[in-house]
Amino acid sequence: MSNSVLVSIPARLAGDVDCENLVVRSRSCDEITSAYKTLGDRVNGVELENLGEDLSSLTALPLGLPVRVKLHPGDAPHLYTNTWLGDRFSLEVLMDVDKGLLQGAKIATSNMVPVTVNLEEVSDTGELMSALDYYLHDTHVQVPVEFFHSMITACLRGETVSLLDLYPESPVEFLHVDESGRVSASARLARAGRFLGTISGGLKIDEESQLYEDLLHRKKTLVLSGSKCISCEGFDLCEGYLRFVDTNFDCDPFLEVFSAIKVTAKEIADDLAKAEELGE
Amino acid sequence: MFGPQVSVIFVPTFNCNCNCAYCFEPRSHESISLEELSTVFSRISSYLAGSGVRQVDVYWQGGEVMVLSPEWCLEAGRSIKSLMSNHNLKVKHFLQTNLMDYEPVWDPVIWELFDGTLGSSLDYPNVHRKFRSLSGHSYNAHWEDRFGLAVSRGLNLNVISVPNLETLSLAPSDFYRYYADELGLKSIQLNTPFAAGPASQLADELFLDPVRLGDFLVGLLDVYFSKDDGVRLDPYEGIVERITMGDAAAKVPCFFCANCVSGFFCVGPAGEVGQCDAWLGSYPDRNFGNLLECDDLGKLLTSPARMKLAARTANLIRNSECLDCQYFSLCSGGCPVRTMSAKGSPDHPDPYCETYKKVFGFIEDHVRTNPKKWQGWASQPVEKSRSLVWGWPEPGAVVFSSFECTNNCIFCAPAYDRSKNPPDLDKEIFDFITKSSRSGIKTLFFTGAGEPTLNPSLVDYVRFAKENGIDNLYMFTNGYGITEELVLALTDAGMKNFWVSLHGLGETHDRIVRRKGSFVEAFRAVSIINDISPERLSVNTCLNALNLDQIEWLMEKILGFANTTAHCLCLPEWDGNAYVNRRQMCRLAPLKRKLAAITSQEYPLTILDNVPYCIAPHLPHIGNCRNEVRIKRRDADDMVSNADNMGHNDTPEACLEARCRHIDDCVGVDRRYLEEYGDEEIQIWLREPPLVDINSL
Repeated sequence: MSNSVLVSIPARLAGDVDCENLVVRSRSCDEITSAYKTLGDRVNGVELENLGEDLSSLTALPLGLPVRVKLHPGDAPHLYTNTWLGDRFSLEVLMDVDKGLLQGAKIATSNMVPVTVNLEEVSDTGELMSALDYYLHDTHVQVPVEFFHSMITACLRGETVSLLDLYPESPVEFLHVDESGRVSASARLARAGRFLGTISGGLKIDEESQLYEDLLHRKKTLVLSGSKCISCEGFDLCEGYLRFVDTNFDCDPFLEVFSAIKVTAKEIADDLAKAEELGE
Repeated sequence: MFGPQVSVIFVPTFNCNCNCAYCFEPRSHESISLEELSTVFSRISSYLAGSGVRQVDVYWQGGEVMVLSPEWCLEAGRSIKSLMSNHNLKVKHFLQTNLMDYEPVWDPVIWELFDGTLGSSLDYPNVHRKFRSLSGHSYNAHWEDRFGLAVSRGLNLNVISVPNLETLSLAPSDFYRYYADELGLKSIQLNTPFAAGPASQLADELFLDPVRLGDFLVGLLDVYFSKDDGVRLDPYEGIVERITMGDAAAKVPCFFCANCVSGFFCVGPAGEVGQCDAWLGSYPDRNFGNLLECDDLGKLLTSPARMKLAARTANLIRNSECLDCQYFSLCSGGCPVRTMSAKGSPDHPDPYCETYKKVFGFIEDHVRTNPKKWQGWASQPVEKSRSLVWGWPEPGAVVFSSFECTNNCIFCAPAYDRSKNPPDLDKEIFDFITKSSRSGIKTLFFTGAGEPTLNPSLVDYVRFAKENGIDNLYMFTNGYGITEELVLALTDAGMKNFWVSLHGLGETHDRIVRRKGSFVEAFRAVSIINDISPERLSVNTCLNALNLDQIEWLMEKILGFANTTAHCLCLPEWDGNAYVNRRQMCRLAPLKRKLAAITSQEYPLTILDNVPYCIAPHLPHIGNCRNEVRIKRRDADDMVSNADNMGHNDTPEACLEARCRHIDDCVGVDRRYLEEYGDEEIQIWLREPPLVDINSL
């Protein structure tokens, strides 16, 4: 396993691994700061799983450290109580796909905090399209909402960025350690009970396992399994990400979003071309 | 909990020389003592340093600061600076004053603490402001008189204006004309009125109809956007920046920031801590606590009163229509204290919500329908990178352009060469320039045993040098006689490089050069030349025992000028006054310790002159590059190549014995210094590891 792999690990377990690039996560700020004190520069970022408690101990973390707050949309107003986080850290919100997504995205972006839609926590997709609509058409949005932002900007450049690029599950790039110390390639794979190894006696993964093979060669796996994903209109933007864990996942709201992104990118490209023609 | 920068609103007194009807502060004569100030700021700096803050902006407010004495303010400001420095916090002071008691006696304070800039307040027409027997127009007339005096002294002023009912009856163009054209202000901020504290009984009179105020402001913005006069009208220019550039680049005032609680707090004359001066004065029951009674600012900042205020925007999101508003990201619900005064609780939208909606809508339409006009705003301004600019084409020569001086610096090496300028000095200098030109001199330094600006022919010399093909012209000045007109005349004549001597802050500089008022003069000179922005602007500081503890502070000030290109720290030759005052000169050991804390990363303009290499190997040195400067000091001197420019220096025995590999790069040590103190210091640090790990820089 390469030293460059980014490992997301509960803060209380972080001292048990000797990896160089760690993202420590916890609901407790004290656990996070304590892990940072022990691990120092090996901590590349932190993920805070709660905004409710007193966050003052985070002041012990270095300025500019990437801090990702995992947030249910209903808790987004807390961002305004803790605006100092954005002044001090490279702050981002990982927002669950649930009721209130539109309001949550509006609150975070109004406070100039970038948002990433958390595709590992999808409960209710009812507001996904309205969140995209807000991102595309509200003139005051000045920070990215991912995955919308990267997909549209890529389309405008004539390139493609897929969900797999934005939510990497490749074990050569990213590993996720769960609360029990078991290693997977993402939180959703861990919840589905699909593991690559453990951290007992140091972080080890089984590079001969079927899961490892599947993760490294997704397209091949999809073709060999006869998956319908291959012929899906949204495959270029999804690459089989949505149904990788649950083959019955309802992709329709996402396909609607992908389609809107492509249409919008085309409209913008046409407008830009026209403007260039007119010499504006 | 704060970001890396925090603001402290400091109210040293509630005492005021005015009696304005709309004032929200108590009419009390209470002032903080220096001892109390020391306790309060010691606790503030201790907490802020421990919570990762790097920079503290201290906003001095009243009451009225100018009811205190200038001496007290200077001591208080230095005390704050020193307490913050002890915790590695950088501090910047700002002053808000009604200006009514301004006199030039305040200048040293204003230059040393506030960089020559003041914030003041003036309404038009004046309805509420009163000063002694003056009110209405006579108040403004007195303010204008003080303002004129302040401007004539080189001070910069920003003004806050609060509209009133009579303002709304004016044509917006008349209002704009008064501030921008009649007064010539370049920075104006409009605040909305409210009624709190003692003024709460005037609520009906003070609060303006939000729609009518909105209409007036839209009219004013229409005028403002049609002008191209360099005036900045806030908070609306901040809103333009926010719409066009996003949050990071926008400078919006507190009432439009996402959560004011995360940006600042206020400390009052009795050590009381609250959110801002308006909260402190109007709603003392909502204070967070008292720093003279509690030694932990952290406890006060987590008090229920502050936590409740911190949750205000979150409450608005949950319980009001704010989140549905298209302008929520621009105002975040507005000002909590105005809301409190209007609605009895901060947990409502700002009472001027309708005003702001009108104004934001107008600004947005304007910006988006005039894309060409605002095109330049789309990208963030590129901050000029600060790097040392040094060196000159060789050989160079020194023109002794004056033997007279206004000062008598404690370190002046040519002190005994000073005299009245000889009657034929002009002829000598023109001849010298001609001879220099013929002998291939490429650079001329206009300096002397005295102050060049005392010579009325200086501009003519410069022009003559330029006409004779010498293009690289430098002049040294202590700031005396520097005016905008003179600098423009010099630059027109061909002067490209200005070098101003500044040896300390305030009285320290005055003590070093032994003339009262000379600091203000020198600092103003830097400011004037900086604004004109010649090719190079260097500042020279002669290191000595009186200014060693101020060096970093001084370096920060010099960096604060956008166009400075070098800050030279030099050791004087032990000649003339320097030898007489040798006990006040700098010992090498403390200098080595002081310079160890200074890095080029933090102070990129720093360069050392006549400082032995091993004192600070991590900083750039001029070294012996002045070898190629030729000096004709007396009639007997011929203009010879001064191959041993550092002739007053020796290489210490200790360095030779240790076979120091920097001997060739090093200027050595003044031979009289070695006679006085020997080379014991050097022997000690030759045995010790360097104080700075050069590889880590």
